[in-house]
Amino acid sequence: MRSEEDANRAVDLYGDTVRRICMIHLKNMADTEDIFQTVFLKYVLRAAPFDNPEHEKAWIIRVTVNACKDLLKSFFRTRTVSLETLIERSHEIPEDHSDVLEAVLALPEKYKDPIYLHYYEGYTAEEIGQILHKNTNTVYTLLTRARQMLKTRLEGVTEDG
Amino acid sequence: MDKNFEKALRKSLDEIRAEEKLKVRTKEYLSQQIYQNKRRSRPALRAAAAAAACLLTVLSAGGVWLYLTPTAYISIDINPSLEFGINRFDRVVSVESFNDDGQDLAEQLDIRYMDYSNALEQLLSEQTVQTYLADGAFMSVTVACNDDEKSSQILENVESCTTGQSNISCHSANMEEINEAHSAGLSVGKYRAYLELKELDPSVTIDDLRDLSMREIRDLINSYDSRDTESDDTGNSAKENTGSDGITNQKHHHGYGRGRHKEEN
Repeated sequence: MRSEEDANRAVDLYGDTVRRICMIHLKNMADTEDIFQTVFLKYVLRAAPFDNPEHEKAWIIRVTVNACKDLLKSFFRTRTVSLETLIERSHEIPEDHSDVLEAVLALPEKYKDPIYLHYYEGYTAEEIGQILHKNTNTVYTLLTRARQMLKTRLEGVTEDG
Repeated sequence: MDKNFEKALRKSLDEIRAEEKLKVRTKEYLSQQIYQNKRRSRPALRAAAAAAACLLTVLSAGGVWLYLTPTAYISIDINPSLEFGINRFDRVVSVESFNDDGQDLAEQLDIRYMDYSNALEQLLSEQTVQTYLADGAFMSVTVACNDDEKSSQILENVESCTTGQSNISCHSANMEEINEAHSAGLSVGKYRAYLELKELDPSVTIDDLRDLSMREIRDLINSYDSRDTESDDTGNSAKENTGSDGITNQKHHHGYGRGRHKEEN
């Protein structure tokens, strides 16, 4: 059980990261808030200390990814669309998202995290494998395929190769 | 594409930040959870409190039991026959009367939970008792306790209370005698007198004695004794007794006034 100060520090420090991962996977604010609560509550309840800040961040990322996965997996969600979602969806995602981000968001779920972690957080394939509990080679494969998909998609918009 | 892509992605993702509102609400939620968790940890506390309460109940029940259980008895017989139950804290916890006079006297006295010496003093200063004593009645105080040390201690105190009273005799008895006396429906003082008399006259029954005052019983005993050697005065004040001339019968372990005889208990 961590103190309230500790919890606030974590929210300030990792809020943006968690928010980005949520943004990649989720479409509405209510779910994002759920994820925030889940992730930071887990953090608060975690008794074991972290080895270092990197460890802490990786842990946060993994918990967030898993929480998103759980949320998306839940039976109710897969069959229903809440009214809120419908309302919020219209103005949830700002229109000025870059094409690049749009392309990432359009990727199948399993590619999003490796892409985010690799390109934004700068983790190596090995580290991503550790965070996501995947084989390093699997991560390479995922990254390669994602890149191909992005390329295909982005080539239609930009001329960048 | 990698480099441009990375740059572009970084740029757009950089713009995404956790909204202040989101952070605030998360923090609120967490503080609530932390607070609740502290509260949730209370079942243990509550269990401990419950256990403590149980323990307290048991202890106080035990304490009340300890307090209310007489460990010693002081039997007072004039004509009124009374018996005080004394707990281990030297307090009078029960007043039992063995005849109607005793009943009346017990009702006049308010000595429950008093220290037994005070109780005895109050009893002695009671008008009824004073009248009895002034009329030459004979008062027998018998202390009974399982614990010899305590018994002699009480006896000592009782004797110091009764000094100055000429026609009071103090004895000690044991719990067995108490129980026998109670099953016979007599106070222990009277029961002892009965035993004493029975030795002299085996035909005496308890019922014969039940309504006799101690003076009468004493006189009866003395009438049997009178043929025995006139006993010495043993330096006590029994001589001042009217009627029986303070004859004591050492054979029967009986003394007057301050004469104190520890019985074979």
